[in-house]
Amino acid sequence: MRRQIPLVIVFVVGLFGALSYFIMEPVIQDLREQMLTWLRIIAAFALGLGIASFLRNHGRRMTRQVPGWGFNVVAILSFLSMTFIGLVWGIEEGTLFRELFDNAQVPMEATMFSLLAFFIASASFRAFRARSKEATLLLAAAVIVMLGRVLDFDWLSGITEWILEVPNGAAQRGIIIGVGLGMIATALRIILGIERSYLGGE
Amino acid sequence: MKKLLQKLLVLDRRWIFLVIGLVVIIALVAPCTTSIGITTPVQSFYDIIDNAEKDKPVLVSFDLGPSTLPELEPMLRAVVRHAFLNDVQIIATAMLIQAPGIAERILVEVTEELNEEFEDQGIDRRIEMGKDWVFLGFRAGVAAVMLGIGEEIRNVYPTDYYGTYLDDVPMMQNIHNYYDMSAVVTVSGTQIPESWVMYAGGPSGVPVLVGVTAVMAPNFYAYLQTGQMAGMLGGLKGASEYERLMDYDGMATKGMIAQLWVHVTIVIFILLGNVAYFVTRSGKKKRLSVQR
Repeated sequence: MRRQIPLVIVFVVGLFGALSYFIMEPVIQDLREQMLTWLRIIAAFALGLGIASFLRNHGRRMTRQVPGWGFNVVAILSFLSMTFIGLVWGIEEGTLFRELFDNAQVPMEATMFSLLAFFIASASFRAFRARSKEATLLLAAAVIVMLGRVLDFDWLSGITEWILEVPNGAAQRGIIIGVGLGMIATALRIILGIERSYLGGE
Repeated sequence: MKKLLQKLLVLDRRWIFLVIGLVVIIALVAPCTTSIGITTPVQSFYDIIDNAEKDKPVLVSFDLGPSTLPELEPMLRAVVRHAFLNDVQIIATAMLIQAPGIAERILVEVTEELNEEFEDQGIDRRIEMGKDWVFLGFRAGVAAVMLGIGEEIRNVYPTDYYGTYLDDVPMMQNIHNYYDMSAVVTVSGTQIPESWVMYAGGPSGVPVLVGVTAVMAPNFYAYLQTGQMAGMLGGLKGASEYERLMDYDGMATKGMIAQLWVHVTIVIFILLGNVAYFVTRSGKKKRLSVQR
């Protein structure tokens, strides 16, 4: 019974969710709107779950004093202090929360992302070698796109756009269609109760 | 010469980091300029905002976090500025929890900048919250939020970010769902733009315009070809093209000079690496044939 009830709920809700796209009856559409509200409430609970998981994982590493546990302390302290500051003094423009966000979190995260430029430079120097036909093709495409994105020559921009639109577009379309079919297959498996891993256990 | 090339093959990567760092600093400090051509996806994006109906606002979704801010902020500023200058109202939302702080700052700063410019030029016009823009903030559940806006925006956002009921916001009086909007703009370093295509553009037909980081841009060319995305700004280059169309020297135009020189430097490194690889390889082959 503990397994059958969730399976029935998933079957009914899943089937209704799919069919409600095609049935424009006011009753069905009203119910669909109601279900969207439930979905948003469930999504909000996921945030709470994320916070609990964050605190549990970092807390466990901290109490066991695994190597680098100091970083876990920093993570928990940062989380708790930002929560406290936000709850007590608010999160609007001009508050301490916003000052910390703008002047600590933003530069730190931006710095991490900016480091990509250095690693890409180093990795392309080492990896882009014309060792085979395929590697030469990749190398040529990379050099053309890199230059075509910054130099203002019509012919170079034309080749760059062609690479992005035709070979890249074709490959991306294949991936998108594959992912889409995979999503439909997985959804059907869940709705029909074939895929049950979300229930936990085996 | 050969020894030098061999050394180049095992070059410590810290030298590469140093060169890239110096190139970025010099490019940003030196008084250089660069010319930029306009690509079709950027032109389409610009045209849709430029021709947007005055009584149909544009929904701008700030779907970004602080990490991608240096690359995405210039395009957000340019788009918001362009809309305000064309009397197009903006409904701002955020699909990521880190985004509300960023969104509010950009909206407030662009409003202040434009109001100062209007005052300096003696123009009798002011950008006002509630009249020209409304900020709705973050709601959890990306797909559910997008689908919900398609039904009735008040179901998802009964109030704006500051707690004012949407019915009391002047510009929201006749706005209920995507059919009342000129376009949906999403600026993100994630796959969220795909969700906007599926849950907003697909069902309602509202044009979806995307601004994404340069590394994400190739993922979306298939959507551009089908028209599911009506325009795209890819990375700093896309933002600088947009600024050029607006005839505005913003953050992207300045940043493009650094990007130009860094790309050229990386290409030089790649070419040097290949020259070193082939010269040392031909030396090895010759030695092997002599030994045989």
